[in-house]
Amino acid sequence: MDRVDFLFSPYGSELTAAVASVIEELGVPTAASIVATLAPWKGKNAKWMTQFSSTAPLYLMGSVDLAIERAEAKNIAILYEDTPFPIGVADGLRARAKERGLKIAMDEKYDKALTDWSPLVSKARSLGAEFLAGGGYYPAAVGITRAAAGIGYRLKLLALVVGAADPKFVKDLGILAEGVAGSDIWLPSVKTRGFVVEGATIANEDFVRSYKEEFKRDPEYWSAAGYGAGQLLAQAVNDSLKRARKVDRNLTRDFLFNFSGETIYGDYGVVKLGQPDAGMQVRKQHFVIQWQKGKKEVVWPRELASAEPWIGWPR
Amino acid sequence: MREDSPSSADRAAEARPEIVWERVDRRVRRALVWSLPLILLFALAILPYMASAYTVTLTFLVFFWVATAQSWNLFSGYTGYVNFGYVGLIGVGAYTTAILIGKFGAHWLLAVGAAGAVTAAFGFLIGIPFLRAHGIYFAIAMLGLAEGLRVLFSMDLMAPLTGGGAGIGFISGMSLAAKYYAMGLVALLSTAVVFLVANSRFGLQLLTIREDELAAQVMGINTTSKKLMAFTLCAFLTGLAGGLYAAYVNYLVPATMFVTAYYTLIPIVMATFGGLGTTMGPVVGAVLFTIISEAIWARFVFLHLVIFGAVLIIIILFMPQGIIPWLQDRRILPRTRWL
Amino acid sequence: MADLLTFIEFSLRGLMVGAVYALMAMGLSLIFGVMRVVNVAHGEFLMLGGYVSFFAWSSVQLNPIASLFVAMPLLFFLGMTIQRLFIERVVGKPELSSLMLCFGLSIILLQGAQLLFTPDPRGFTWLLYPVRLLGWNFPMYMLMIFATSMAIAFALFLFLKATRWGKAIRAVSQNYEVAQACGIDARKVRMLSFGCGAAMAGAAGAFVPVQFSLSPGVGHEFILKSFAVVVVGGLGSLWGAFLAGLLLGIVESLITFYFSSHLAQLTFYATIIAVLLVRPGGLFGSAEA
Repeated sequence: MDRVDFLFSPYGSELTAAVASVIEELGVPTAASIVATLAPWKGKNAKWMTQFSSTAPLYLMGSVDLAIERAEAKNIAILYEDTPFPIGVADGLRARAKERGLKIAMDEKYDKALTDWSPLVSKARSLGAEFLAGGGYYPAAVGITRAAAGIGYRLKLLALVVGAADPKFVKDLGILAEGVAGSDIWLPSVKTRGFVVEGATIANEDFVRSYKEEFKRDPEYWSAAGYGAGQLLAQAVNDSLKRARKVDRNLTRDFLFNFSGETIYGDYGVVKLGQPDAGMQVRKQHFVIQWQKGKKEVVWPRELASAEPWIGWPR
Repeated sequence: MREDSPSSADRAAEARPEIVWERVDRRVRRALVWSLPLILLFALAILPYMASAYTVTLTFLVFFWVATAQSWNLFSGYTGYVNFGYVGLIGVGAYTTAILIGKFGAHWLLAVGAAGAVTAAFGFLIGIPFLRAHGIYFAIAMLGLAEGLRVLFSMDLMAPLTGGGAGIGFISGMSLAAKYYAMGLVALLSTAVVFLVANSRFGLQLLTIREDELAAQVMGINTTSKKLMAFTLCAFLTGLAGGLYAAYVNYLVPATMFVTAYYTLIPIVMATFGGLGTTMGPVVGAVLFTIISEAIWARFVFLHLVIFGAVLIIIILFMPQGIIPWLQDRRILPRTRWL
Repeated sequence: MADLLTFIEFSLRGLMVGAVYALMAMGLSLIFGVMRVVNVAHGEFLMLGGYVSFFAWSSVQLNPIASLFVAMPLLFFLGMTIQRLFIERVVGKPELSSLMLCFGLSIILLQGAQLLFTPDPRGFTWLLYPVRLLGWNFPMYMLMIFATSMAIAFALFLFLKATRWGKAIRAVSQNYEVAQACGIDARKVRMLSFGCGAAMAGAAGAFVPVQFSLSPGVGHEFILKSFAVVVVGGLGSLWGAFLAGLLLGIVESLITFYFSSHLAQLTFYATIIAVLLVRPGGLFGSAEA
């Protein structure tokens, strides 16, 4: 640890939260690439680690707007796994629903070990929910969708993290996946400039192209996040070299906290050093995606949409 | 003619009634008995100043496993009641520390001490009903308890303290050396307690319960209160170890803290391998398994645990008494109360 | 009125899920009755049954009911083999030995499955459409699973009641010494009943990828529920396990509806503890164990 100048972070909320205090204790500049909870930053006065990825509450917020403005749903059932990331997603749903005056028909979490979602989905239907949102990881997205289909539940919108964005989802569920909405942080098709390094730019499309050449398949968001975080750190190190002719931890860190701009992954910008929530991501955006004819289409926000949203599930 | 290779120890034991160890010159033996522990203790004491952070951390983990294997042994090894809910005790201790430091800003020393006390109280309270259940029912109930605690700790009811499913993070304010020494002391304390129990009337009473609980009752032993005492003691030591372990983990989430296939399994395998109801068995098991697994298996998460499971089966089938009594039976180690 | 209808709907749902619990717990109870061994690895048998059914579906589109004819014999032989190689050696030894042996087996099967099958959750879609029954929508697969589970449970009762081997199993489980005196080969009976117990878990498991989410760790949740079931039903009692399985299914469903799924889960563990507090030998079971 003592000879390290900067760190890439582990995958996931729990791991990042676990290493956060070590990083802060030792003072190593880090851009946490895939962590969606706020816990490591919220009120923590972080001084060394910034959040590169976006935050959990943003994941499905857009779907609430979509449900209100396009699907004309009167209420929402929030159903989510009781672990850090889905809790954050549900916080976002709840906050946006309240803000927009959408009635909350059900708000319930379930244990990580749950394997049968049908009682909970039946409960949501009994309570008359028209928009069902939440989830957790892959099994939940599939399980909730199946459970809803099994009881003939008709919804105006069904939006689930994170499994619904997984390409496996449509393979496993086929026709049932049609019309299910999800959330994506990044897609190969999105146009981002990336960093402008000494005149040469590595934009998202360049990254996707070289990834495909190397691995013969489309990159997933975690690869993009890792690459983007790498771009950011490289830039931070360059900046430090330029100013002090060496890799200085303090300068690298300052760059991570002050920089506001774009990587191939999208926008980056965090709460400035010295504030209670320092390091927390504030600029990264999320899209609502929807499976339409076996393809993943961006349907929200409107200005980035690749297709019109479908209303009503199942199709 | 002398046979020194361990593979021929069996034959050696049959051929010669004396113990291998006793063939060593008496003065050498005495010098070894006194100097070896001292040298070891000294080496462990200066380790944080000599070795890399990695080695210190690994030794810290050895201490943790010694303390937990020893505590598991103290109750289950001596009474024969299988504690499958052991992870629950570690969890209670760990959460106590995390809550006291994270929510109330307590000093770690206070928090870890409180972890021992709270876990002991918890053990005492659940021991009263649980220890009424015999053998298998106790094992089942403890398995249920560990799982129940995991769910309980993630419920809204407890969320103001435990952070619910989102978990609780904190900065312990302990340096690596402080964690190391503290855990070392807990390991030492656990071993000392087991030693004292092993060589006491109380220890004999516990062993009687293990052999035949009904007979123990007939002999006038209040088996319930003896079991309860041992269980509370086990909980106390586990609470200290769990409390310090929390300072190492820094961030507790019920889903990763209450993992039976890890925190219950490993102490059981270590203690059983070394020898249940012995003093040094769990220490030997813990040291051996931590080092071997770190060196060889740890890179393969699942395989690592498969091996732990396989070792457990092999011990139960072929060496149920554990390595130390096994060596004693073959007269490689002396029968002494120190082991 | 609407409240009463909801109550009935969720009771029925629970009853159907409970049938799967009943199957598994009956196997656990059968094994215990015959050889006084609590099979801690029972959940892993269920998990293996689940993978058999999953792979049967994904490779040759065999439906879960048909794959029972693969899963049950496979688990039956696996159970017999495990009994012969491992369990038989600890029968009659202190509980500690058999408990820890089964614990070790459970870990090997669980972690082995993680290695072989990866931790990825699996499942497949079968008969996933709503059927109107008594005015409510139930998924078709749920009705089929319920009916099949009932059939298997009654087949087991029939086997124990009417066949020579079945009677031998009951004899050994009721009175070991007398059974031996009557010339029953207790070793064979133990092997057979362990096989049957494993097959029951395998049968329950075959439905897991349809109704639940299948992953190597799925047995853990089910074994704890089964413990609650057999503690309520009395270890060793098959009827107890059967009825308690259905009962706990209903209780789980109702608590999920009226309170939360967390509380429903906690109920299983609380049940274990509460029952043992009142009767350390299970509710319907004999006090001695």
